[in-house]
Amino acid sequence: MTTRALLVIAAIVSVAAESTAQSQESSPPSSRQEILVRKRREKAERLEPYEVSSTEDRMRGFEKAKFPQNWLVKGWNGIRPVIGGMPSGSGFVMGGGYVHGLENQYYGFQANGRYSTRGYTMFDGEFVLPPPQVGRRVELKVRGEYRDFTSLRFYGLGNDSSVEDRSTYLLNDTKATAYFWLNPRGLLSLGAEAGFTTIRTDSGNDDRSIEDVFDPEDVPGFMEERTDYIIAGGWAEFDLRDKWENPAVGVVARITGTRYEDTGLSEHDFTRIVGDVKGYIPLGPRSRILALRARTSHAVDDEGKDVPFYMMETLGGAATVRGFREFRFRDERNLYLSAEYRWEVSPYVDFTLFFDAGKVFSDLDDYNLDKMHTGYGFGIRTHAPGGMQLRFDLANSTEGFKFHIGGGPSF
Amino acid sequence: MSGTSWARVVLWSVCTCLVVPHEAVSQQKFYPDDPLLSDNDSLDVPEKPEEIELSDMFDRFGHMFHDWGASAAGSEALNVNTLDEVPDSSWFTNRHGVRRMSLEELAKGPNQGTGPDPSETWTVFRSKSQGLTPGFQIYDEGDERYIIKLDPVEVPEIASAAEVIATKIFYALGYHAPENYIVRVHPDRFTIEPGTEVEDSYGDKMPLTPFRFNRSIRRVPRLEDGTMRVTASKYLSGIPIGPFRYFETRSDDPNDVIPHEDRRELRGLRLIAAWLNHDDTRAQNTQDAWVEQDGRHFVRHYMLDFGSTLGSGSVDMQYAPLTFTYTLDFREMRRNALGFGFRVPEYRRAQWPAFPEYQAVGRYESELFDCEGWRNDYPNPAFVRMTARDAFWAAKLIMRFTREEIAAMAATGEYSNPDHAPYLVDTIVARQQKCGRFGINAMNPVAEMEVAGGRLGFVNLSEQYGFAEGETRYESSWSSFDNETGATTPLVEARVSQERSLDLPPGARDAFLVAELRSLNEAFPDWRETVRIYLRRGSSGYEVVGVERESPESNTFPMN
Repeated sequence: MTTRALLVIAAIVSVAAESTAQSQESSPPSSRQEILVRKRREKAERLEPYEVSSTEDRMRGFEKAKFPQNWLVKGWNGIRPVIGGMPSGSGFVMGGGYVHGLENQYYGFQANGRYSTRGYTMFDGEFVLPPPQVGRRVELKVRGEYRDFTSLRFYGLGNDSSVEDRSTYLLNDTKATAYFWLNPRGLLSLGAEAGFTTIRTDSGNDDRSIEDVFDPEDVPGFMEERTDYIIAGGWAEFDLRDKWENPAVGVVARITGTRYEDTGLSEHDFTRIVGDVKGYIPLGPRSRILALRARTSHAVDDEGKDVPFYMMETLGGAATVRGFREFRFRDERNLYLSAEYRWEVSPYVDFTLFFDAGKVFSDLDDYNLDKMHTGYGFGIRTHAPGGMQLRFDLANSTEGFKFHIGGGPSF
Repeated sequence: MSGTSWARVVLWSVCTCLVVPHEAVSQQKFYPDDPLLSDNDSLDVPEKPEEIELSDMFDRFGHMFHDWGASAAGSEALNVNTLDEVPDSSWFTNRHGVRRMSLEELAKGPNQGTGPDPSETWTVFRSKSQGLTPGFQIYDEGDERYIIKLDPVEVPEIASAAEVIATKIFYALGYHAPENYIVRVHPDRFTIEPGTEVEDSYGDKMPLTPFRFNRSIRRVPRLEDGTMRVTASKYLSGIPIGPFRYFETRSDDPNDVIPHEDRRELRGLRLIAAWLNHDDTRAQNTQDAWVEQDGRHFVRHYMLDFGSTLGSGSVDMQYAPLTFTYTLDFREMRRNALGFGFRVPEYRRAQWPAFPEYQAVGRYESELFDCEGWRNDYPNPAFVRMTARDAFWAAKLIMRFTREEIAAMAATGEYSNPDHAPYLVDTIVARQQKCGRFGINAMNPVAEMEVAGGRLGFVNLSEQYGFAEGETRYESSWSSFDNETGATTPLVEARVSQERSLDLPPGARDAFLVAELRSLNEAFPDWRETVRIYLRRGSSGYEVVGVERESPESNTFPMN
């Protein structure tokens, strides 16, 4: 048999075998298993790499890089961006910082610098021993701060100040303080602080500065270029809340006393006493909560001295009567009352209807509920466990609507 | 004719003869190997499929906005045999459902040994420190590798007990699960492999030193003898290639031809997950492994991480709202938002086990539990497609366990408080009754058909388990069945009887018979849907070859 003949036979056998297989595939299956086997063989002919979508792949990349957690909290070797952290009206605030000891059981340190689109500047640093998350009975914190706010708002003093009198001033201060906190998460905790601050005020950078609207002589402290204070104080807190974050029931009360000693001119020595009570009452099941707050602060000047305007109590903004701008009302004393009806929308989201009322005053005879400025509104709070807490409040008052975005609960 | 031309003719002739087209589509309803009890889906996959990594956020939230499954709501599962059961496969192995396992077998579960020996050295070769719940991986002196999991510091025993108990139950049900052991080990037994790094919660790696290791476990509660209780989860055999999704198929696995959302064992898992409170039934808690068996390679599909089952939430007690709502439940949010607080979320009504006495059991209750209304973390594509038939299948499996059997598995949780296991058993049984009632009463509950003594016997599962009250009668008729054409010829007129067995048609010699059976109970109109039971005549007489269940009108159970 010639080579050619052998090749022909081999070719026939080869083609025949292939054809037999094809024939088997095209003949009716003889068993259930065969049907399945055919399906699988068919798929085996057209296998493709199994991949996740590009969107999911990108998300996975972010997760592996722990973005944005690592960027915002830990940063690169501790160097991280900083967003926010200045009074409202600052514009958009960006900056950078350094953090060390995030995972440390014994201490934590951070230093930040911020700059806002309105030209505000702020630097701060603090050292905590041990970090609060460790949950020790004692906490010591040392904090330093430099602020240069070029156009803080000032509407005049007293409860009847007019929004038309809006003006601005520059506040430049440096502060160093040490805090000592005993039993910080206990039923009764005690704290003490001591520090030093130097404060400088000047004309505001906005179109109208204080002196353009008011007689500077009528604004205590504005005529002093610089004032230095020694600060010493302490507080006691009684905490009967069911939990620290988003309490559903309980009460927490704190009284704070702080002495400000004007070490330079000795014109602005005063003592501040603050009482703050927050109560949380579940209305039936804990999906509905009535949260109440009463806060009053009294800056009591020494005989013949006065309280500088920049250290007076204010009203307005995200933390007090939300229907008014921050610093809208200012005087030596204030009274602030707030009620929030909070209801659970999801395990991580609450809605709230709130009503705020407050006043500022200088005479203790005005310590009553007359002439209260009021505001009301609607808010949304997110509180993922262990995650970021956000707050959105839309408030209304005689001065229109105000919208606040912030972190953490209102109270 | 030249040699070449001759060869061409022969070649053409052979080819023409072998490729004459045949009718590839068969009309026959039953094949000789029906009912298929084992789907041999282990076609050799010689090359390891690429390992995939899924995004946790995408897995967790991607399903909130889009249904990634392809099949229509109400479509039936595609991987069932002619008895409407799930055959054994690389996904599922029928165990307790078809052959009652002994108490010892149930308590043993997938475990092949006794776990890492705590009297030997455990070498840590990988470690992760995530806040208060560190985790690490070790190999023992026999070079077996384990993932070591610790209970939440504030709630000892909760996760380890849940993990081990649930593993036993899932294994007995038929799912592939890893070997999980509760072990008490002294911290001194650990040694660290040189070069091992520890990853902190920010992803930073640093050398794992004895100091760092001891610091990470310093808050783990110690028992009286200085040991600490851990869960040792043995490495799965084979090579991991990533999780499986509850939808689509793996395009690189030839054996994976049924879309996962259309697999009954994944659809019916909804009922099982509800029973055992496995809210974390998502892709990230599964694992595909490329395994070798009898010289062939194929992909086996495992379920992992049962730490978030029963009353455990893995890192704490189960978070109260979960299992009542999705993590992000827009419908619930809308209702609650508009309710202004006067609509009380369901979970707020739950009476959880006493705290702190029962904190190791966690949040697991049966009073408020609603098997249909139960929710896992997100709308799982397989779960939302569960039909009445899928639910019926799962309910049958769930109801196979007796109290004694459940107690045997619960005992493997090794609770230190003797009151905990009994509470757990009571609750598991109470929830079992609810899920069983839901799934079995969802359709005509006749099952376990068997031909014996010239009669076709069956049971009414609902009555057997005490889920039905009132008299049930059965309307039945017989026909002969042509397996090739599907035509039926009536043999015996319909009759109604209370008996749970039917005489075979007298003198029947047909190759196939079909009995149509309807259950008549005024309280359960859905039971009137027909169940067709197909018999095939074999050498030893007739045997049941097929069961066809007509679906009731309310065939789907949306999870909006």
